[in-house]
Amino acid sequence: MNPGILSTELVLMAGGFLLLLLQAFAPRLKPLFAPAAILTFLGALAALTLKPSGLHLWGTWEVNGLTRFFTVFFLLGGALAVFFGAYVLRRDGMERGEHYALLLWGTVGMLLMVSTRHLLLIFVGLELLSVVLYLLVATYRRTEVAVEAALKYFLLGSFASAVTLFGMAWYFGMAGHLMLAPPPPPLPKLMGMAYVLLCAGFAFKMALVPFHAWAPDVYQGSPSSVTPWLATLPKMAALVVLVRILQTLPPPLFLGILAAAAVVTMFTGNLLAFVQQDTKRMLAWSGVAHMGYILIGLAAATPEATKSVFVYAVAYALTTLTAFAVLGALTRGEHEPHFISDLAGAGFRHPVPALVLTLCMASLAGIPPLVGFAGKFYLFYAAVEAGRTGLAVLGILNTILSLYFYIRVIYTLYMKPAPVEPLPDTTGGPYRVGLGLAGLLIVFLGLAPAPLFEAASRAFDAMVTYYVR
Amino acid sequence: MIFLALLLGLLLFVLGLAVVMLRRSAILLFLGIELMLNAANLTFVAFSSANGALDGQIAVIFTIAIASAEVGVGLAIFIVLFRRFKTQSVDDLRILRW
Repeated sequence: MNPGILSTELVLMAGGFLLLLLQAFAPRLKPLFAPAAILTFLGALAALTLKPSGLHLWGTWEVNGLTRFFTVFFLLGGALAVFFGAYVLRRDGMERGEHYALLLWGTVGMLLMVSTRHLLLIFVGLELLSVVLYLLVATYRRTEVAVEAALKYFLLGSFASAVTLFGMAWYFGMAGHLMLAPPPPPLPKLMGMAYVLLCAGFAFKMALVPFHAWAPDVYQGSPSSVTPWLATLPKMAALVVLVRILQTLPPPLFLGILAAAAVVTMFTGNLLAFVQQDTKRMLAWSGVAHMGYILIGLAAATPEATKSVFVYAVAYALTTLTAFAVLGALTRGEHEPHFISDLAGAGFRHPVPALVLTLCMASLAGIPPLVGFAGKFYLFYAAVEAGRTGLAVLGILNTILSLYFYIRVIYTLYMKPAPVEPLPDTTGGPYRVGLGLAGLLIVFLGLAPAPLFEAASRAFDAMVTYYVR
Repeated sequence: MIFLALLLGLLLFVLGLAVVMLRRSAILLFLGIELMLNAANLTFVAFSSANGALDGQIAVIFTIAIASAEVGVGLAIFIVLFRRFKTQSVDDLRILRW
């Protein structure tokens, strides 16, 4: 066996253990933990070049365009989350090696999920990621909201995992193996049940209606050092698994369900985002709505649509990560709620974070020329091409609905008079530089989305080579 | 025989589901979830012996290991919860709503 096939994962694992040991035996090196974690992510990125393409480990381990696309995405996203998280943790005096170790290991879990078609390995990855997420939410263990969020997330999450595992057991019984592959034509009756149960856990991680109830509570309760990561990348890993599962089924079976789920998810997310007073909570519901848009792409089920889903996923993740990072800076403290009205007057007082938040909101709303617009345009275009005009129209309608609460944030930032005690910017210069760079990326990928489209296209091509319809 | 084992698995799963739906104590909820996990394990083993494929039994060993990791994390969260809220009932958690 060539150890190179696991190079990225091994680097991440080793980095995590190193940070854990340093926390235990050399806590004085604490200022170096965050740079070490970022270096580990970049080292893992370098190690990715050692991976030989192809199917390894008796066909269970894939290295191809798909896994490379998402590996790069997860590693860069992880590095960004470590960077932002470090400043928030330092501000609150909560910095510990475990935080970074958990982020690194959670990334390994996500890589496992996207790199295999073997259900058992996918489950191991899912659980590795889930356990890490429960712990990360609970890191601020003296904050009541964080504890409540962690408990809710843990109970609902392990419930969803148990349902998924039960679905896997039935899939194993019906198919005779644990590899995700198109089942032979006369589909056993119980196979449908197995598939529904199987999808539950991944729909939960993506916060699709009706598995969305945890999202607002967890996003609001989790500390801002964790939310940017928690709200974005795990959803993408679950999305890849969901796409893989759906690819094994003949399309007519599930397109109706997906279309219905898309409509329900979009409307639930957008309508409930309307009434939120807390910015983090509003972003959580907006995240639910965005997963609804992604479902439109899955329901369209053409190659173009699936490619556009990957592009949209990147756009959503980048924008939401940055938006939560801004909220981590503009706050009265981790114990306080993040009311939208608190942002009043922050626009001119803290120009950089406010401008970046404005860009994020505009990108989420799908205003050109930002990356969110490129994603939405491609997605709806692909849906219309696939003959799903009705769904696309509903999607555009939802986009118009969502303008209200995104623009409300921008309005509050710049138009509302500042209160007597305006929000402080709690995190300092380098954080602002990071925010600025992320904002530039949002603009840049919106102006020149071609490389992103090409990468997504290659990822899709690699995915389908294993499934001959 | 396989039919009986599958039926038992299904029953256990439904029982776990009922516990999760009806009980309000965090620890009992988790107990229900464990029941559901073990229902899945039983189903794996039953199908494994029926299909003559060992994958199912190996899967059970993985699942047990994963479930115990989950128990560790879960109990830690329960302890933190009890320290902060002096309760283990999920109905008493009311900060985060809507």
